[in-house]
Amino acid sequence: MTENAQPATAKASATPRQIHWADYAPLLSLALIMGVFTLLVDQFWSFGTLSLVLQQSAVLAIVATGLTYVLLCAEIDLSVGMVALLSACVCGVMWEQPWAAGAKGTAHAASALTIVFVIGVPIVLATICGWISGRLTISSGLPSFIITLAMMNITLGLARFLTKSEKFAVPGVLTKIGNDGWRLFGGLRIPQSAVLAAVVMLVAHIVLEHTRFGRYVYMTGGNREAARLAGVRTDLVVIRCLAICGLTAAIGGLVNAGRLNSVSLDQNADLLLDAVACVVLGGTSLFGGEGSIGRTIIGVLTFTTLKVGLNLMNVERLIKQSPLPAGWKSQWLEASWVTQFDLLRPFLLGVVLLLALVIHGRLVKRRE
Amino acid sequence: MADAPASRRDFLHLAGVSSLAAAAGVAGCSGEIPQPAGSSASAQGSRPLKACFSNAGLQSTWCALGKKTAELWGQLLNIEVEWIDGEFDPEKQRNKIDAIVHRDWDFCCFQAVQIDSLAAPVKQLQERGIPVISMDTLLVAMDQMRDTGVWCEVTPDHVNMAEMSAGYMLKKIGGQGKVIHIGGLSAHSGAQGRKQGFENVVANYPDAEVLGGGVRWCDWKKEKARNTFESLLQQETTPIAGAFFHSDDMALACVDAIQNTIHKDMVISAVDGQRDGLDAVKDGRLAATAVNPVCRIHRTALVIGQFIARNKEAMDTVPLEIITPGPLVTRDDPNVLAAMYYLADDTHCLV
Repeated sequence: MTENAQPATAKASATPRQIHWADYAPLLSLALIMGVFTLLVDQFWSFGTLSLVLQQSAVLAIVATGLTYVLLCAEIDLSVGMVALLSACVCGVMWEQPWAAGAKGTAHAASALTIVFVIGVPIVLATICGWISGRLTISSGLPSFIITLAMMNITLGLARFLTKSEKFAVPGVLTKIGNDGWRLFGGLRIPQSAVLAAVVMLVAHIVLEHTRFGRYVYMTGGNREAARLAGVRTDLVVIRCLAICGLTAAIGGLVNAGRLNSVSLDQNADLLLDAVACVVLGGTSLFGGEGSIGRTIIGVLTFTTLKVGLNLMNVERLIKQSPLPAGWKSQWLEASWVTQFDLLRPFLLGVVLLLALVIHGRLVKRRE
Repeated sequence: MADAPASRRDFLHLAGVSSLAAAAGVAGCSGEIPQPAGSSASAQGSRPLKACFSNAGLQSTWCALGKKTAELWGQLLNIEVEWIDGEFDPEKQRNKIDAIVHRDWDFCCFQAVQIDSLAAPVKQLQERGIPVISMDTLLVAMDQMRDTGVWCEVTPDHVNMAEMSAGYMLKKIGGQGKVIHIGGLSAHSGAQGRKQGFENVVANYPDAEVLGGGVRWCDWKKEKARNTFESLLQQETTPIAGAFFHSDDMALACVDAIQNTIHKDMVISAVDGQRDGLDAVKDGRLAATAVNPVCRIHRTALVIGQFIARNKEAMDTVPLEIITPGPLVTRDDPNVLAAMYYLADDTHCLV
């Protein structure tokens, strides 16, 4: 295969690649969203907002990284949210055991080894969950969304059984990662969780772009049969990708629990859909073979900027500051879409997401 | 809005009365004190009653404590309690309730995930002569309760809880400054009541400015509350004086966000008064929490259900609505805090 592939690659590099709008659609979406919010939100273009985006995107970025691998293989993992929850629950339950930190996680000090164990076990467990999903997807021949749907229920059930609906504390190191950061200049604060997310993404990027396994992932997603005939063990690639997805889900779940200071069953409910939205917004194909960690970063930043911008938007203030005639202002200020603007935020989020995805989809279609 | 000493007195009085009533119920049912005329034989001596309970979802610590309460007091009153988890999904809850309406129950107590979603199965239970008691949120609109077969609504006073908690916060900040209002789910009648309570109080303080255009609905979700809260903090360049949350869980997920910021002295109050909320008041992370008396609600529903079943009471003799009050817990009044630790403990399940 390598022999045949080389001339084609050489030919491709000899002719300059045609630049197409579709390649830059995710970046344009991000720029557009930032531009709109710069106009609508006071001091949106500030270090404070950047810190906020970094803080709120960290968990999503970690989880979306693993999901990118799975989507690149033309598979899906619906269990990420619940695997993240189970990992955090296992960590919390173990942390409150008498041999660890005891009741409420404050009864007595735990050793460093205990902390490593309490954090390490859920990560290994989640990786095993992902591995099992992959193994069953391959051995049963069923679509991964069915297998991971079952895994989603299994992990939720286990989390419920373990926690008995109680809230559990998590180790202080997770709370620190979830909440602390480094203050730099001009109000810029780099959250520790964002640094962790950057490390996870960097490692994932290196593996994907600079290792044989990474190339196999693209080949498996692009054309599985061709990859298999070329000697790639596509089954193993799928299993590994789902295991990686479990691993990142666990890290994301633990960081989220740290950020919220505890773990309870109501966490991570939206994590799956948000992470899928991020990966797809970045331009990674749901049909596999196309995408990258770089694109996922753009997707995560777009999604989080949109959410943060909508949260920061204060229509009432905007109308008051606008150069509109006073009569219009007072009339608008009493309108239901202004007084109950908060209820419209999810609607606006959906509309903007839909627009971005449809435009990107159409551009890709035109390119093809 | 009651001030702290009054609410403390009220609370201790109520706690006493409720404990006496509960004790009388248990003792009465076990035949240790004379039975009132018309009452049935002792609970211990007679056949055990069968009751079906369901609340919104056991994911929430509030609902989980409600289940413990019903089971604990069910054992004491010789009632077999079967539990149905609403899973915070009206459809799932409806399917599960549909599956049990044909079975024999002495009474049922439900907290609907969504108003009206259980109207049809409740009607079927009514046709079979099985009393249904509504807990916390309305099963159907108040004027349709009796026609649908709902005997009684046992509810906390959401408006009053918010008035107490937000009122305390506003007093603490001197009635002026910027405040944040983080809400639960906009469609939830309890959240609507809490919003009303907050707005009632804030109307008395013209110098208090509610940030973010009023209540910010976060669907009881901690992540959403934290993100919204951080956004509101980020926008302000001068310190925010206070914040009021519709639940302790949302408040506790946000308290860390004010550390090392200009808002670090913010006075935060909330509603629910569960164990974590009490701990947070004790260690100063929360200024106050108004207790949403989960144990009292579930226990009252259970006790009323067994009275209806054992005494063969008629529907029109049972009040349409029973409001179960909860106290305001602050560090200013350690006695209330200490009492709440005992009363809300899951081995007692009293408030």
